[in-house]
Order: sequence, then structure tokens, then C-alpha cells
Amino acid sequence: MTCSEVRAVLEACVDGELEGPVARALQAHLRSCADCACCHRAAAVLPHRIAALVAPALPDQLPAVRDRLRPRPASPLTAGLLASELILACVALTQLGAAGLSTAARTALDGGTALIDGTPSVPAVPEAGALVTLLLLTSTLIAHLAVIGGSRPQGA
Amino acid sequence: MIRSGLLKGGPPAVAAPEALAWAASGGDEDAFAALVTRYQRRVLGFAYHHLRDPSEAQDLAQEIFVRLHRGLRRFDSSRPFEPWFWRLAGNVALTYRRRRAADPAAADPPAGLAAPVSDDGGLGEALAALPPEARLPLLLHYFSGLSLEEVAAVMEITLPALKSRMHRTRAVLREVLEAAT
Repeated sequence: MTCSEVRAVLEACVDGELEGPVARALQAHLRSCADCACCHRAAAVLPHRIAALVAPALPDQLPAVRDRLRPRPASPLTAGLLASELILACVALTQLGAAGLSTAARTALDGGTALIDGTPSVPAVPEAGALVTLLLLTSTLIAHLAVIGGSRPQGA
Repeated sequence: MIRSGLLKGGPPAVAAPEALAWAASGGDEDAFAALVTRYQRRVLGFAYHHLRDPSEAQDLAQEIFVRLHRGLRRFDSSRPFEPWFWRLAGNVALTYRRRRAADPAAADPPAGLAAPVSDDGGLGEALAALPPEARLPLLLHYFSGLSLEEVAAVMEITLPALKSRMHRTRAVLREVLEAAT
């Protein structure tokens, strides 16, 4: 085996995954090549070095963990945003309801006229004002959810 | 209240972490505190060597324990606690790192926070230079003691793929450390 062939399988050798002629050839090479023997030793101790790694002393995490687990009441920001959301929703529903009623009435009138004249009735189109309000409501809701999501503490 | 431990065989007789987890899953906060106290040093070490930043490591460690608290009901007390716990820790570390990478404000640790650590011969620095997908299996297997099968499950790769990845990573580390000496 050449040195480069040996280096390519050193980790497999350390893990005991080599057997037969390859393992024997590698052992023979290691006996005769000081550089590769040194690399083999380094490969063999690396897992133990990782296991023995130490970290800096850090403070007790229990108080912080308990704090994260403590249920939190809704913040004034969240409550305020949700209240305005509710008001907007009421406005939108009112507009949509009014639009729906007027459209239904118009359709009924058009239908009656069509019956008399023999002309087809025009399909009902929702009120533009109601659609605009609905659009505003949706975009406001998305913005509010983003604000609420961004202001929520991690892990809470 | 029905406790998962009761459904899955009741409290274990001898293994303390399993007993603590079983008690904590039933709402015993002292048992949960004992688990945190027992594992926090290793969890902080794991988190530190994964993120290489003391402040982020504390945040990750806290998140791991919060997820432990929330997930204790799913713990089967008839099985060993540690593999289950470290699998959970590995998953939290993976998602934490991805979320951190997606957040440009948190991508780079603040300068001056990373504390120099011991005389590990540059191993910590060399580990930190690895991509997370290469570093995490080494930490989970050698530092946290998960079996290769458990690490493969956390990383969502096959066992042969994991072994191959770990061989490559160790070879890279070995060469980096050799070049540094």
C-alpha cells in the first residue's frame, strides 16, 4: 500500500472496519512508515479528544429555563392589535353584508326586468368598497401577525 | 390525569434519569429541575462546541430544556432516557442552527463573546470551522454518546452515509490539526 492509500483508510482502520488482506497490508505499512504511523496514532486519539472537549464555565440555566416555561399573559401590544383587528373585521362584515343585500336586491330587480323584456340579466358583482375593505383587512391581519410573531419571546 | 409513563410500563425501578423523567412528565417540577441540573453541564458543552459562542450556547441549551419539558409526555419510561434526550437535543440543535443561519442578524456571533477554552490543541477551533452537518454527528456520537444508529436518525441519513461522512470529517480534522502543529 502507498502512503496516500493508507491515509485514505486510516479512519476506517481505527473503527475496526478493515479486515483481511487490506488490514494486513495496512498494518505492514504502518510498521515500516513512521509518518503514517504518526497519522494513525492521531486518528486513533481524535475521538477521545472530542469526547474530552471542555466548554467555558457558564451560569446555571435552571432560572432561565423556568422563566421561559412560565406562561405569559398577552402583552398590551398584542391585545391592542387584536382589538383593532376585531373592529376592522366588523366593518368588513358590515360592508359585505350591505353589499350582499344590495346585490341580491339588484339581481332580483334585474331578473324581473329580464323576464318582462326578454333580455338576459347581468351577473352580480360584489361592491368595490367591500372588496377594498376586505383587502385592507387581510393585509392588516398579515402585518399584525408579523408584529405579534416578532414580539413574542423565544421559547414562550 | 393519564401519564404516559403509566401507559408504557410505569416508573422504572433503578435508572434515576428515567425515574426523574417519568416524575417530571407527571408535572413534578422538582424532578424536572433535577434533570436540568444533572444534564446542563453536558448540554452547555454540546451547545458551545456546536455554536462556539457562549451566549448562543446558553440560548440553545435553554431551548433544549424547554423542548424537553414539552416533550416529556412522549418519553417512554421503560426505555433509556439519555439516547432519547440526546436525540431531542440533536434535533433542537439542527433546527436552531438552520434558524440562526436564516437570520442575518444572528448569523455572525458578536465579536469578543467567544471565550477561549482550555488547551484542546486547536481541536475546538478546527471543529468550529467545519460545516454544521459535519460537526454535529461528531459531537452527538463522541461528545454526547449517541450510538451511530441514533445519530443517523437525527441527521436523517443512512448508517453507511453517516459513517462515510464521519470518516471524511475526522480525516479533515486530523489534517487540519497536523498542519497546525
